[in-house]
Amino acid sequence: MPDPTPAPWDKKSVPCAVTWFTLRRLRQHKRIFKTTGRLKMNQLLFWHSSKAARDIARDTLVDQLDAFFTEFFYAGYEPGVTRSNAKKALDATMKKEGASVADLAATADAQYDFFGEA
Amino acid sequence: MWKPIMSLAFAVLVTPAVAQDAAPADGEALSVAELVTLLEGLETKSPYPQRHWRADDPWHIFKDLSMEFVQLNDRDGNSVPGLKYDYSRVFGKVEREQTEWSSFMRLTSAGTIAFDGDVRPRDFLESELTWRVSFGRGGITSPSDSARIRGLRDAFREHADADADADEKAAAEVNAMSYIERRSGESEAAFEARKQALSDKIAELAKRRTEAVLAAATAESEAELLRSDEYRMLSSAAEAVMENQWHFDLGLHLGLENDQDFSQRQYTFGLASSLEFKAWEEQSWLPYANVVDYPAAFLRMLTGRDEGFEPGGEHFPILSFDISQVAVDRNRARAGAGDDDDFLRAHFEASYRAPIGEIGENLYYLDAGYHHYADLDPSGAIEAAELDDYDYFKVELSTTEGVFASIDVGQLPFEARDTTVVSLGYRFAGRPSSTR
Repeated sequence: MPDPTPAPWDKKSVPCAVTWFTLRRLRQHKRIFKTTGRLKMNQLLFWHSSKAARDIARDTLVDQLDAFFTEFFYAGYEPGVTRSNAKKALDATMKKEGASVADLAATADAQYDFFGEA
Repeated sequence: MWKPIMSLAFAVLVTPAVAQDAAPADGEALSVAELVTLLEGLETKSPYPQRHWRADDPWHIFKDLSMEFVQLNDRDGNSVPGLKYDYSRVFGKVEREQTEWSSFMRLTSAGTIAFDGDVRPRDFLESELTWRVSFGRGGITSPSDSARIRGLRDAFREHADADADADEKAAAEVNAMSYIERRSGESEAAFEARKQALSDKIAELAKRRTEAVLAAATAESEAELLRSDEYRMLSSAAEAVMENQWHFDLGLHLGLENDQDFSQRQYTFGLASSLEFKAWEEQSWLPYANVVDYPAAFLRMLTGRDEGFEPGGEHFPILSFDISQVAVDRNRARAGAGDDDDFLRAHFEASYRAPIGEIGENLYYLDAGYHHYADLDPSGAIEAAELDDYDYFKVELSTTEGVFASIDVGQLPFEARDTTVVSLGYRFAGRPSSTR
């Protein structure tokens, strides 16, 4: 059954703030934090109308998100999560046209152990 | 014919995944309107994949399938229902550690089906199974690329000698220690101590950057954000570790092309490749080489999204190319020309997307796609019918609500001649946009 609870978007949340900054740095949007959470995947730069191009852009964006989280913000992976699994999870969220950036941050939160997160 | 079949199919697929209070009574077939209601109910909820699909869920195999009811306009301007579907699943991905190479297989299928057979969206239906070897380089450095880390270590040492701020000096120290191996004659204790020092440095840098991003997230306006010391420090630090980014892949593909009622179809098999490039490095001339982005860059300047004329290094078109043996099952255009034999075809695609402005909550994008198809050994009949070499070009202006203006010109496989379609105020998405 679908989960009716919207993903949180909180400026005090490390996964949310990191996801916002990383997507902005990768030019997927150009917004301040508070208006980014509700952006949908089809409102980000990678969402080409061509499916073939969209798949390519999404693949490379997932790689860059993982690299930013782990090599710029020095996040680790949650116990039991591998780099491959984490990237698959990000990819699964980003495939959904109606998924929001808040949803993507929630996925990142579940996969990555960010410094300083509660 | 399609309506009852699709209704039954979606009743089977969708019913288990929705709330019980929206489920139809036993024994009742769902009407299209009821299905739309069910899917709209899904779409107002958070599509949080991990919470939707459990591995033991019998519908788990459909987790990579996206479907959306849409409203299409027929030639008389009447709205007719349609279904847009998109399936994409990667499996067997292998990433070689310490290298930039990987391989994967991908199964995709996408298209738009109009329930009224007289309304035919121009994007024909394509399905493909592909195996690719890919090479990716650039962006932010990966920890597995020890050679690049050595290069960065040297660069950061030079930078750290200059008048750099505290964060960059810390980053220089961390990167100087990132490629760490036990030195000749070094004791185990000394090696462990060096590794611990690295760990402490990473923790120090992580703390500083995390505090900075949380501070930057409090900005109430774009101007405030750009004035923020924390944001500027993070941006500068990110710029220092990002390189121009390449992605290239090459492999085999097996495909199926068909029209909406499957009355025409052909199979493809051959070699396929794609190329993506992003110019991330600041102070580089490369973005100005992206002439495709000039019109959108000009619009971004006019709408105020950019301060000046700033072609985007991230807006280079994504290129795809394939050479395929096409096995024709039924192709009316080629049959009408007198030759529907199998043929060898080259196909080139360029896909471009760039923002052009923002007004309130609405983002405006310019999407463009170009396809070129060429029969590599056409017969005289195919040449005479001008089916040996043709193009298709599409430009869309879209916003949060969907496509509001589009032009598509040219010819697609299964079409016998060029067609031009101009659409204005064309609502492609059948559901209202949801805001949070």
